[in-house]
Amino acid sequence: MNQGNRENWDSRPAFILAAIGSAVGLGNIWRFPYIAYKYGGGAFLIPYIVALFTAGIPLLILEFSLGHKTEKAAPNAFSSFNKKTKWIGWWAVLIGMSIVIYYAVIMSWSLIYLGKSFTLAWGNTPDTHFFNNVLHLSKSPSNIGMIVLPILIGLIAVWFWVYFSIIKGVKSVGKIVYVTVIFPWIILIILIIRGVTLPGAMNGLSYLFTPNFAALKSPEVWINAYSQIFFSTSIGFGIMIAYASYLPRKADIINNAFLIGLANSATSLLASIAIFSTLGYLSLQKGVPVANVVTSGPGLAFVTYPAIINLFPFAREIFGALFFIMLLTLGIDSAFSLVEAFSSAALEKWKISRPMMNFIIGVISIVLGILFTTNSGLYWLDIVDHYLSVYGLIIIVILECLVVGYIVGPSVLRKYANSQSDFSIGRWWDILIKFFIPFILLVIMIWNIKNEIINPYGEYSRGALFIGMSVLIATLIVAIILSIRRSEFKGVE
Amino acid sequence: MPLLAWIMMIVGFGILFGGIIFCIYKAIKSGH
Repeated sequence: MNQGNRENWDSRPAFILAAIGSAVGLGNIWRFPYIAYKYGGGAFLIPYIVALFTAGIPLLILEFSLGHKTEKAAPNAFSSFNKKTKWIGWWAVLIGMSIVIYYAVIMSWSLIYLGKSFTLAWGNTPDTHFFNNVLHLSKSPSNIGMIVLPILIGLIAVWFWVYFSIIKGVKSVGKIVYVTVIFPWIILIILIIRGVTLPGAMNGLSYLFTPNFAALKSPEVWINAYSQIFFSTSIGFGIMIAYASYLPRKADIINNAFLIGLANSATSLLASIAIFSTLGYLSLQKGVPVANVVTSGPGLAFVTYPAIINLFPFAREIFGALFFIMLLTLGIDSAFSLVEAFSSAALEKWKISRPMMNFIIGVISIVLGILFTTNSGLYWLDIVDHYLSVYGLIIIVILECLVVGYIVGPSVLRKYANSQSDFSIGRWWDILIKFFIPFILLVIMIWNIKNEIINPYGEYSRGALFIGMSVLIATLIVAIILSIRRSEFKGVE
Repeated sequence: MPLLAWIMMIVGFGILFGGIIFCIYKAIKSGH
């Protein structure tokens, strides 16, 4: 299976940092703290850590083994075992590529806010500023309106950054991650120190960590713990398969998977301290309960956090800038890892130079991303994200487990991983891949579908949701076409 | 902050960072 001439990471830390950078993203900052608070507080850590060890890390081992054994990106990695499964690999990288099209728009917002933080331009009404002055948000998804020029310019700037980050593949990625992974950790520590030394911080942390053990009886809590692990570990988009395919032949798999999974979750926990300590401060300043100021998603980053920065006693501009630099550096490695997964697959199919391939990907992505820079961009971003990163991810990971569990045979990959690694895994891993993880994912999918039948997602119209679903179906159709068409690069497939 | 909240926080960080330290130790020991 090995071609023997594939480029390699410069060092083990470079690979580990790149994989951590891919997994750690905006969700660690704006999703985990809220989910933990909502589903049992401190008690949520129990299902979350269980999910990490029974799903997150085993899936990382699966993807690393696939990539390292075959030395190929996702489509050819699957195809190496069974040619009829190639479309799964293409679908995975196409979903990832579609996600980065709007993910780059969120980074464009962060770039705009980085500029605004030097003058605290959001003023005393950060909510009005974000929705009216920055997004120029229309009333519904069907009111597309005009392109918001600063967002489009920011989008182009972000794509330049992505382009230059991956210009030499893992060689350039392996260098840039020393900055883009370590720097946000340093900022996070600064924000934690700032947060916990503010009055009211302990009240916020108390809200977050006080355990509600009764919540553990609720299946919803466990479903959300597993969902959080699935959605935040960068599995299912072919990233870890591509990254592992560039590891040298003598490289560890299992220890790396544990290290990356643990580091991702530890970052989430650190972020929750930074966020909830400052939410405690905000609640004290406003004289309202912490529960009234808790938010998640873009609302936390672009409305609530700017409101908190306004109340900081000193150096508000500096802390504002640090926060948005942190968002940008957290986001950039997730963004370029998604592009790299697709680019690696495309380079195995088409005989084009890497810079040219990345340039084409960048231009197409900017054009397709224009919809998300319009007045209705936020709505479409929310709708498309729902179908791609929830349903797309769930279906891909189920398929991945079924292919490895029932076509490749989990023991084949397990024995390979054990032969490479600092420590070994037992037959329990086979059981997780064959039965447990697909079952959990199926439960999560049924639970989501049931909720949607009762309440359509985000209260959007059926038509808008149908368009969101169509994007997912379109990626599937393109994946099937790409897997059927013969390669133009002889000798690769 | 209540004692139970402190315990949950310390145990959570203990498992995650303990695991990271263990992995780094194994990597150094194996010379990988």
